[in-house]
Amino acid sequence: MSAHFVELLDLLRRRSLRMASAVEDMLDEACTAALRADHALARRVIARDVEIDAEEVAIEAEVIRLITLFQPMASDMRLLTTVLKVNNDLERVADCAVNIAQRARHIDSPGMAGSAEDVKEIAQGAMRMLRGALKAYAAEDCEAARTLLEEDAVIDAFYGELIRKLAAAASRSPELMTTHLDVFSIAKNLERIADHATNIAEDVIFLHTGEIVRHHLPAAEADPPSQKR
Amino acid sequence: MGPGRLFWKLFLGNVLLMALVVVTCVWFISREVEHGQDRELTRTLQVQAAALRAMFDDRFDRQHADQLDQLLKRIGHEQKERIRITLILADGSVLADSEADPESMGSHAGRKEVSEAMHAGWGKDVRLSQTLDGMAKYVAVAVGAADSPGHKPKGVVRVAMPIRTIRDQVGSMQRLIWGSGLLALVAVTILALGLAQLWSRPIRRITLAARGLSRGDLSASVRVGGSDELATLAQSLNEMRMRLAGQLATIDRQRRTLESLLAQLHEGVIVAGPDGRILLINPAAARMLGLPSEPAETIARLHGHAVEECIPRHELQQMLLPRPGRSASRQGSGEADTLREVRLPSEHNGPDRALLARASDIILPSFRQEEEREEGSRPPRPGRLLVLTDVTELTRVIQVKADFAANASHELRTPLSAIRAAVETLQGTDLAQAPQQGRSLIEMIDRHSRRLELLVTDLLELSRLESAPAPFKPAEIRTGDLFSELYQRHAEALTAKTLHWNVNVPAHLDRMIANPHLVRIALNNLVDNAIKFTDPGGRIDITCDEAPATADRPRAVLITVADTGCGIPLDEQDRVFERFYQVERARSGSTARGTGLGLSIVRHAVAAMKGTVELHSEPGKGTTVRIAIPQPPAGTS
Repeated sequence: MSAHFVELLDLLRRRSLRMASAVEDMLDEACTAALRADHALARRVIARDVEIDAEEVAIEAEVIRLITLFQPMASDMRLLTTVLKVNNDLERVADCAVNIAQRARHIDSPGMAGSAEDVKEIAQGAMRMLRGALKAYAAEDCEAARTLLEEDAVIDAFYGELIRKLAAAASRSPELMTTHLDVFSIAKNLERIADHATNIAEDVIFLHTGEIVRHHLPAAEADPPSQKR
Repeated sequence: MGPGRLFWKLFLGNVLLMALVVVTCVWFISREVEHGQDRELTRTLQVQAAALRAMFDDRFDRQHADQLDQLLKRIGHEQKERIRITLILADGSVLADSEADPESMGSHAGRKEVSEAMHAGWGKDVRLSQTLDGMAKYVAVAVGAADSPGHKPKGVVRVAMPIRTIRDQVGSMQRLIWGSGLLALVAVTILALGLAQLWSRPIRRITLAARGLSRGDLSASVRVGGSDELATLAQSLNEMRMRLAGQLATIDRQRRTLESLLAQLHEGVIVAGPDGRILLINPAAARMLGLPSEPAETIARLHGHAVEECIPRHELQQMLLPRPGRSASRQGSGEADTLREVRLPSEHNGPDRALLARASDIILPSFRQEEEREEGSRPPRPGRLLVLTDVTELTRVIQVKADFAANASHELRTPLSAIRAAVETLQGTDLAQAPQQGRSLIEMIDRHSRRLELLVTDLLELSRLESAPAPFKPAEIRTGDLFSELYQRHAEALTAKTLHWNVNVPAHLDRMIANPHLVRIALNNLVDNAIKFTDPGGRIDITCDEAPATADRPRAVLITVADTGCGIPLDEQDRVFERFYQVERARSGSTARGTGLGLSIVRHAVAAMKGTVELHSEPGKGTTVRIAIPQPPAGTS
């Protein structure tokens, strides 16, 4: 491939990584806003979503432009599809962060009706996963991505526990129902973010090996385009 | 490495040149020899002919023909060389001959040498001779007309010699000459070999050294003897090498200085090029950003990576990436500089890290030459410099100070408002009517003002300990005096609560080195607390002990203050050293109340002596506090 294409590909990858770190920051701020009941911060997070959306569209357009212009093959094509898929996941993570921030605007006291510690825990877990997935994406580290896949189960289990606790708390103090519902929504969004982080990790593995690890399909059925490079 | 091309050039050139000279010389010499021989022969034959002429001049006629012929034949036979002598009359008929019969010989008038001799006195010719079988040289001399011109000669004396003999002589001569020429050529070749070697070797050495230089090998010096141009060249090369090595060493030293400076720096430094790739990152920066920083090579591996790949936080990336459309002219104007506080979540669920990041443009020397040429007069695109300062501790300290100010004002306000309330009540009370109430109010004022005084004293003490401009100087203290003074000071309170006071000091610890003021502050506060939280009838034991020096700490004097008081709950034992922290009354089971600063003061005082404080407490059983005061090594005091 031409040097020009290689350069454009690198620029695109870096642009995607920039967006990734912006989304990571957004999520961090959204969680902080929710935990501290910081309404101003929550508003800032919601305002940032416009940038992310614009960037997502721009990156997608650039991927399509590169595919059309250069018709890349093998690992270059894999990189482009990975950028496209990660791009999509990142935008969804940003949407989840916005949802969390919107809920944060309703919460008045930092206590979250007694669920603050649990929310903090699941938020940290989700952020750790997203950070790990993006780190693996930046470093193209297949091994790091694989270890992340197992972590999602932990978050899911914790989320189930949290829902159970919330249900119990809601029946104890029905007067705080709106707060309980906000907490529920925040936890749900965090759990979804962890899922997106898992997707990104799977994309990183695909980028590296051409192996599709989604849905635990055996390698033969997944029809890998090319085995380990 | 074999002999170079220069060697062959010098060698073959020399050989060819010298071979040319030798061959030319040999050719000339051999030609000259041949000619000389020829001339010599001619002259010999001439002389012989002349001698014969003189011999036969008087009988050169037909009468003496037989006599002459016999004489000639005898002469001819006597000669070792084959020589032929012929006497010819003017008419061409042969008078006598040394070889053949004159009768059988035809007229010789037409022979070249004979006709020449008849006309010019002598003649010569070279031709094939039947008589001498082979080429022969003929020389003829006229007889009888030598001294009288115009007079016709009587005849001719002709001497002939076969030329083969001469040719043989010349041939062997020439072989000798050519042979010696060949020898000379061999000698010349050997000489040329040596010369070529001699001339090409220093050049080869210089070439090798120069090639080494161009490859960056500065170790080998060139050694060329003599004082010619080559030696000068070699010397210049050596000087150049030395200077280069010196400059490289300087550059290397500067680079290492810079590297160790960056490595030692507590501030994190990151430099990104105009293309958004990391040019430099120091270990502090890697540590702050949670990047792998051990071992040192992993940091170097980050160089050349895109900022987006390794720097966490979008804000930091934005600060490091050059913004499009911004020119270098605004560099340093403050507009391009940005200062931001960035919060980084810690890796291990610890407290968040607070970083102060300052970014600015930095003009970097361009690394590629073609880039420099392309850019021409345009100012180069700036890179970005990011300096990170870890302000986590600072933020925490600021928080602690703010908390302290809030706590202190709260603590001070409580007695003050009590006093104000009492004073206001007093103002509205007729003391003559209710003296009892007045007295209790005054007592209340007294109690709270005492507490206020205590608080202010403690706060002053604390702030003095914290911001001591000069270190507290240690001095020798007599332990006996110290403890008796301590008892005197608290004797009243001890007696009031009927507490047992027991001091146990080993005899060898009769003196110690410490700052008396600090020790007094620490012990006073500890004993104060012990008295305050011990029920009447309890004990206070003060024990003095000694911890021997170990590898990592010097000898220390241990002073233990143990009481049988209410103790401190386990989960609060860490916090009692915090300012204003007091165990809740309900939990301590004690009614006593201090300022909440006592143990904080103890900790600061002991810390000022570089000592340590340990606290062991069991609720209901009592509290033991042990302070260790390090002692200077014996002999230095």
